[in-house]
Amino acid sequence: MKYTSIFALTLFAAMSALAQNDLSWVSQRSGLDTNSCTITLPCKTFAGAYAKTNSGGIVKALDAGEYGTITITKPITIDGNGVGADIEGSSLAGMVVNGASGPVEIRNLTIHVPASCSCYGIESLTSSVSIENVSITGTPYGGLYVYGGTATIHGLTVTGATPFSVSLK
Amino acid sequence: MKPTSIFALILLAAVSALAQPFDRTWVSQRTGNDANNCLFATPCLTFQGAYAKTNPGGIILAIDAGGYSTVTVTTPIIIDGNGVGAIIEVSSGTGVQVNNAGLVEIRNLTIHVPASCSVTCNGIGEQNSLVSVENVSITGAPTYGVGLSSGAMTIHGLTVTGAANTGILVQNATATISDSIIRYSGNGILLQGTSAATQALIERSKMILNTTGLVVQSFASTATTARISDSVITGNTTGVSTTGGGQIITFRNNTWAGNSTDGTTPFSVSLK
Repeated sequence: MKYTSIFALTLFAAMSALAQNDLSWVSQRSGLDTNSCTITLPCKTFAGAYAKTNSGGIVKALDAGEYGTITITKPITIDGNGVGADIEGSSLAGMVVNGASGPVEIRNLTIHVPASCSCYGIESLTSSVSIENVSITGTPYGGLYVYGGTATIHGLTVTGATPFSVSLK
Repeated sequence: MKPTSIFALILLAAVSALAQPFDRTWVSQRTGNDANNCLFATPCLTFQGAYAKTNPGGIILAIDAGGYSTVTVTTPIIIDGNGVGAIIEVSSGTGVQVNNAGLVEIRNLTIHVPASCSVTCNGIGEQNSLVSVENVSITGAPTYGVGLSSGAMTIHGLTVTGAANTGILVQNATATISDSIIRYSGNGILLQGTSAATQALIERSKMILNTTGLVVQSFASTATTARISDSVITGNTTGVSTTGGGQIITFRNNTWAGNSTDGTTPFSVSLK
């Protein structure tokens, strides 16, 4: 094989590894986190899709399912998409938003914290977060914990939280 | 083959090519193709493809979750994401553009503008039409979320997040805005009367964490008025501003506080 071909292949591989979407999809039924997260090759979890989505992009659920916990550090929209998307809390929180440089939107989701987890539903640290049409239920340690930054909350329900439902610090 | 058979075949082909548009058409990113006739069993791939096969006054519905591309319409039509998770990804131009169209409804959609749109990408644009926008979320990095220029728009259940210039621009037009949220944007809502009377009734809506929440600008003595009721203007650098005789009328029932500068004292009237 010529060196130029090898170089071209290497370049192609590098570009593929860096491929990022502006719009990514997840499906618990048909997704795989090794996929590219396009609609025909969806990912399985929000965290898997987040890793393949550009800053300022959007991740949407294709169908009902449980899409795993996620830590967010860049501007993004995570949209359960009205199809019945759930996040099951395990260790620390259902979602953590930490130091994102622009708006983060979390929409149309259920976040369930089981009794086995002393977890927040959503924890936002020094970020600009919008939460809309989200239900946090089960036994969250805290429903929504916002430390620094800003938050707009519209259509949030928190049920069964101890010691607080929403805390702004 | 007999000449009559050949004639019949040609006629059939001609009729198929001229297939009449339908009153109701469907799109599916998973199974659609714009070469289809856009009926339920053989849906189209994009809103624009379906629009071409829909009668004026007809309706286009999404069958399932997917991205349905930007669309420009010039006739009365209903574009309905249908609650299945439809999105329009705007890589250039405007998500839905409505020009000289009469009555148009845009419903149940996400419109996303990626950061890669480096010049001007907008959510919804309207010119000289009568548009209803309902249950639409515009997000990412739009330059303008929604822009009206002449004509009228009723907006209900809209969220705009992160518009670089303005969430909702009303220019020489009339708008009603209810149950909507504009946040993390330049201007939340901007009224500009430059050549025709411009007004907006803003009800049960929130302008939050923008550079300026509500801006009313009148040029050349054009009547430009925002009426605001049961709404929230908070967390903005400047709450409201008016220039050139632009007027804000409040019904004394708004939460208008907590901005770095709350801004112009409005003209207050009683509820009636």
